[in-house]
Order: sequence, then structure tokens, then C-alpha cells
Amino acid sequence: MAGIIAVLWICVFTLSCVIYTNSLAEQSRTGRSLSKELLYAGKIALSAHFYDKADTYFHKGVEHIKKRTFENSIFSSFHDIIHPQKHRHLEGKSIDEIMPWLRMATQADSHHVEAYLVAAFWLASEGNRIDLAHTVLTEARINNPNNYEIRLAQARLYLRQGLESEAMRETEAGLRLWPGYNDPNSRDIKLDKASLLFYQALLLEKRGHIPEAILAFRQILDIFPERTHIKNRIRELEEYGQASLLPSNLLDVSLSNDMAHGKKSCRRDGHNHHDHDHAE
Amino acid sequence: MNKAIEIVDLSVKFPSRGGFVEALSHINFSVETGQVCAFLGPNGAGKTTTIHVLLGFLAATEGMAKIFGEDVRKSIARQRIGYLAEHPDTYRFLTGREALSITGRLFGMTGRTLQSNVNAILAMLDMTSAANRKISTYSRGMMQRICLGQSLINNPDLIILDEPTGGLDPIGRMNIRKIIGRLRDEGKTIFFSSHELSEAETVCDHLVIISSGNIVVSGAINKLIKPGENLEKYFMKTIQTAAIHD
Amino acid sequence: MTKGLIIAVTVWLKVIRKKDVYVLLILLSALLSWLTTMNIFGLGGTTRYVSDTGLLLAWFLAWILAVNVSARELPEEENRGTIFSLLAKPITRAELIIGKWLGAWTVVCTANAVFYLAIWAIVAVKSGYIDPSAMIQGFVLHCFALAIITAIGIAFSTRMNFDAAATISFVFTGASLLLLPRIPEFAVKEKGLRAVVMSLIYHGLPHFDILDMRQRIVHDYGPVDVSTMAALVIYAMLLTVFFLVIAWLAYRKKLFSRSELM
Ligand SMILES: Nc1ncnc2c1ncn2[C@@H]1O[C@H](COP(=O)(O)OP(=O)(O)OP(=O)(O)O)[C@@H](O)[C@H]1O
Ligand SMILES: [Mg+2]
Repeated sequence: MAGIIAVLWICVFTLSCVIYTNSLAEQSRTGRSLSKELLYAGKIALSAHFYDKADTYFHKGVEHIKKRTFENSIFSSFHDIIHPQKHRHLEGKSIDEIMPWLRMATQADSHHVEAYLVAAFWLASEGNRIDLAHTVLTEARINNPNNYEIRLAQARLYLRQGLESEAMRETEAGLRLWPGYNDPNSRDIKLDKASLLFYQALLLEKRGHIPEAILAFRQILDIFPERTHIKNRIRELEEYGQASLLPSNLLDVSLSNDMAHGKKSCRRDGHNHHDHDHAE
Repeated sequence: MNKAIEIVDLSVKFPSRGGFVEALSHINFSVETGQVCAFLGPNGAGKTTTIHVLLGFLAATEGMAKIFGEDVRKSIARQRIGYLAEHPDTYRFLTGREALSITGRLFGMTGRTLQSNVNAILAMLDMTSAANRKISTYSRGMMQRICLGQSLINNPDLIILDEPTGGLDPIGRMNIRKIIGRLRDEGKTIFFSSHELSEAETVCDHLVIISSGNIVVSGAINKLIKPGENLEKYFMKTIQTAAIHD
Repeated sequence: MTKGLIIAVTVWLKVIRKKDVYVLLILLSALLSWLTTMNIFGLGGTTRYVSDTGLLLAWFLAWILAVNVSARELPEEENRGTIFSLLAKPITRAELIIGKWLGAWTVVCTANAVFYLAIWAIVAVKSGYIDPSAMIQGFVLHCFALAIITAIGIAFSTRMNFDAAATISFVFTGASLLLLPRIPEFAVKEKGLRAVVMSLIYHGLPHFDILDMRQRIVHDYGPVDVSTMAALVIYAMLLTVFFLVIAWLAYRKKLFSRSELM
């Protein structure tokens, strides 16, 4: 019964991969043996697979549409009936269905920050469970203490809850940790820094620390000089000591924009693995 | 009398390195219904090969074989025969009773008939007490008896046995001999190969002796063996003269 | 035909008594039960991942089982020498092939039914919902896929020993299961001979992808219409018959000599 033994082996291997990921991750950081490296590579692949699975679930089992041949073949038309190809999204409560895969992705590789972020994002938005989102981000932070993205996400959550001093703390930490091992010239990374600065500036403005707020706004202009609404705001603050649009209103607008943007993109550009060598 | 087995000019060649081995060369013999015919010959003489042709496992290179007038290549030819292989084996995951009843069903038996046939066979083989045990727990002799039972379940008119007593102890051999005797008394045609000459002598009435793929002798035992001679002596003598002629 | 049924019954008895199937079933249930206990960021009430993993495992285990059972039967008869007493009975080679296939197929389908029931029960315990009509359709199509796989196993085992037959069957069906669905993507960039080869593979190998309803079951797309179902069943039956005919042609004139015994 060679086949059955093979099945058993595969199952045992997968199980052990999933169950013992955390302890293995520890080992692979200290030891450098080939087998451990291989195991680590396997875990990352597994994690990426689960993350893709979450994405597929989000699209109701429709995989990303790729170019195909044999479109006119009878097999192809049956294939499309059995495997619906229409692009669509999960909504509302059913978004929960992607969570198990994100959980598995983070269990297979605790440095898969993006999986944590996506999970927290959906929990806080459609799931309406900010508390759970915080738990997720806290776990992410413990496993990836030097990652600024988690701080940014947490700052957003606190802002939504109106917990300003906590939000302030997270933006400060986020700015300190930026850009981490990411490319500081990449547009996405720069956008993240601008967001951190923007939240910080508005919080400062709200507290009445106008000069500090102006300083933060100017740093945004250093990154994106073309943002006229920032220029205008700085001018208003300098001239009148306050802006026409209240900072709290601007925050609300900005947060809901972020939310809409997050849903649309749910970025799939892969996550960075520089982190794992140097964490802790 | 009808011919139960008829072999005409039968040759079998096995391909071997470069050329071929001629296992049987143009043999002819027949067995009439009601005869008990011993098929004798030294190792490698061609006994199993002949039997395999009779059952359709092997194709004749030349010539042909018939059972009850039917060409052996037709599956109908096997309806009325029972066969015990040289190294018999059966499904060991079955119990003895199941093995017999499955074989019975292959012959189209069902219900009461099947039940009573199985019971009768078990009783004849003295296997009733072990009938509900898995065959994997049987001894060699018990297994041999169940296999013999499988070949008798259809109440065959012709029974072909390839070394039925091979690998058995004296008691086991005696049991098989008794069963053959009983079948002979029921008027069955029996064709069996054997190396146990004294044993063969006690049950058979006809002889076919084969050596190196050639039939050396065939005929009624009382005509071939003179008074005062026994089968063993006769066998040695014929084989030796056949070897000289070769 | 009743002779074929008797052969099928012995295949059943063997598989049931060898107990490998139970190991697979316990494995599947244990894995799924363990999955349901997973803490998903403190959320409850998600079950799609359970049915998804369960169905994936059902496909995987049934595939392994189908090849193992079907490719084993004929070579084992020859190795043990039981083929001799079997062929000495008034049974044709066609009946033997059909009986072996029928036994292997039905026993694997039964195991598969238990797999599906286990999945359904475990999902139901977590108060998840699976559309029963889609599930039944998926099961039926899966069973027809298994009919093809067992026929392939039988066909390869007519002229090979178990190890060779099982390996080739695994490679052949594995390529059909895993590689073939990707061919339309791979072939986009290919030209010339390679494109022809890809087209041959695509049109020549059995299409298990169109018999695999997992996406519709898991993501709740509901059942397909009757005409599609009928077309797919006919496709699978034709392929099964095709491989059984190949098996019969290969076995029809096969001669047996004692050398196989050793
Ligand atoms: N498959 C085969 N390939 C080549 N030669 C074979 C094959 N089967 C049998 N032979 C040869 O044919 C001859 C007859 O063999 P067979 O088995 O018929 O002998 P036998 O009379 O039954 O011997 P024994 O008393 O040992 O059983 C032998 O020389 C044997 O080597
Ligand atoms: Mg022999």
C-alpha cells in the first residue's frame, strides 16, 4: 500500500508544517542548515498559497483571469460552466469566509504582514469588529515589531474610534520605523509616509499645536510637492491660525477615502520578506 | 465412447533467447469419458504445458485440443470441467465457505442448490469445521483441499488435476487419493499429473507418459504393465528407452 | 454479466477486509475536525474553508484509492496464480475485465460517498450550509471521473505488474488532473510543434476539470442544468468505455504461463 503510505506522509507533513510553524520559524532564524532553509521556503510558499486562496475566495472562487487558448473548444465552454469565470466580489458578512485562509497564511508565516493587514482591514470594515482587528494587529506587531505598516493600520483604527492619543502614538512609531526594509522611493511606500504625516498633522492641529502641525504638513510637501490642498491648508494655518475645514471633518473624509481605496485595491503586490532575518 | 480430452498433433513453442524452446512436439492422445488417466513424466517433460493448453491459458503453436468435442479456446469448453492448478492458491481474504460459494456462483448456481453443494463439498473434504475461518489462517493442506473443492463445486464431468498431492504430507496425500477414488466411483473422468507413481497406480486405469515433449506411451494400465511388474519399474524402463531413442 | 458481478463482489470483499479504506476515512474526518477547531481571529461561523479542504481531500484520497484498487486486481491474480483457477471457469476475459472494473469503481465510489457524507456532517455541525443539489451533482460527476480513473488503472494493469501499472496510472491521471487545466494558459505563448503537442494533450487527455464541481459547491453557485449534466455524464461514460475496450483488447489474447507465478 505504497500509495496510502504516501498520502499519510503528505498529510503528516502538511499538518506539522501548519502546527509547528512558529517554533520552526524560530529555529530557521538561528540555524542555517539546508533542511531548515528548505522548510522555511516551504512555509513561505504555503503562506503565499493560502493568501492567494483568500483572494480567490474574495472573488467567489474565480481565479485571476489570464489569457487562454482553446477558447472555442467544447471543453472550454464546459469548463466555464463548471467553473464560473465572472468577476465578482464577496460582500457583507460572507467576507468572513476569506478569514480562515488569511489565518492560515499568518500561521504558516508570521511575517506575512500583508495577510494580517488585509484581515484587520476586513474585520474593521465589513465585519464591524474593530476589537478583533486590534487583536490581529497586536499579534502582527508582536511578530513583526519593526514594521511601520502595522502602526499605520492601527493608527487608522484608533482614529476611527476617536482615540486620539493612541493614534498619535502609533503615527509617531510608524514614522520612526518607516521605511523599514522597503524601498523609500517606491510610490506606495511614500504614500504610506504621507498618510502617517497627514494623520499626525491633523491630530496636532486638533490639539492646537499649530506650528508642529505646519511642520508635519510641510514634510508631506517634501514628498509630494504638487499637493495644493496641503499648500492651501498651510497658508490658512499660517494666516488665520485655523483652517476653514475642521481637522475632524477632514479626518473623517480621509478615513472613508482610505477605506474605499483599501477595498478596491486590496493590494496584491506581494509582501516583503526582508523582515524575517532581523526581526526582534 | 465419447472423448473427454482429444489432443491432435499439438505443438507448443516458447520463445527464448535467439530461438525457441519446444515444450511439446506434435503430441497426440485422448482420454475417453469415465477413464482415470495418470499423466506421468519427469520434471520439465511438458505436463503442465499440456494442461495449460487444455484450459486455454496457452495457445497451441500447431495442432489443436478439444474437450468434450469443443475447441478449448471457447469458454463453453470449461463449463463441465474442474481444474486444480499446480500450485493452487485462492483469495485468502475469504473464508473457505465463501471461496466455494463464489466459485459455485461463477457456474451459475444460486440459492438452495449452491448451499447444499457447498455443504456437500465441505463434508467430502472434511473441512466443515474450518469452513468459516479465513483461508489466510489455513495450513497448506487445508488450502489445497479448498482449492480442490473449488474445482469440484460444479460437479464436473472431467476433472483435471496438476500434481494434486504436491507438497502434502502422507496423510494429506491419502485424503486426496481417497477423494479421487470416490470421484472415480461416481464415474467421473479424471486426468491428473503426478510424480507419486505408487499412488497413481492405485487409482488410475489409464496411463499417458510424456518425456521431453513427446508422448512415449499411452494406453490402459492392465495392458501395458505385465503381471509381476509395478508402475515404478515400468516408468523407469520406458523413460530410459525413450532417452536412448532421442 | 452475473459472472462479472461475482468478480466485482470479490473485489469488494477484499477492499473491505483489507481495511485501508477506513484509514483514509479516519484521516479525512480527523483533519476536517481539526480544521473546524481552528481559531480564526476570534471569528466564528465560517465553513467554506472546511468544505473546500474536505472536497480537495476527497478528490485526492479517492484518486489514490481508485488507482490502487484498480491497478492491483489483475497483477495480483497473476502473481498469486489465482488467475489460473479463475480462467479455468466458464468466464470470458471481457467478463473478467468488466467485473474487476465494476468492483473497483463501486467500492471507490462507496468510499467517496462516505467522504462526502463526512464533509457534509462536519460542515453541518458547524451550522454551515452546502447546497445539497450542487453537492449531489458534484458527487455524481466525481464518481464518473472515478469511473474513468479505475478504467485507466485496469487498462494499464493488463500488461504490467502492479507497481508499473500504478505508477503509470498515477502519472497519466495526475497529468490529466493537474497539468491539463493549466494547458490553455501555457499554450498562449507557444507556436509550431510545441503548440501542436499542447493541443494534442489538451484534446487527448481525459478532462477531469469539467467533472470537478468543487467551485460551484464551495462558493454556492448552485447546480448546473440537466442538459450540461447529461452531456458530462455521457462524456465520462464514453471515456470509461474507451479505456475498458483498450483493456479488453490488451487482455483478450493474453497468454499465461507459469513464469508469471515466480
Ligand atoms: N513460459 C515459459 N517460457 C519458456 N519455457 C517454458 C515456459 N514454461 C515452460 N517452459 C518449458 O517447457 C518445458 C515443459 O515445462 P512444464 O512446466 O510443462 O513441465 P512439467 O512436466 O509440468 O514439469 P514438472 O513436473 O516439474 O511440473 C520445460 O522445459 C520448461 O522449461
Ligand atoms: Mg508441472
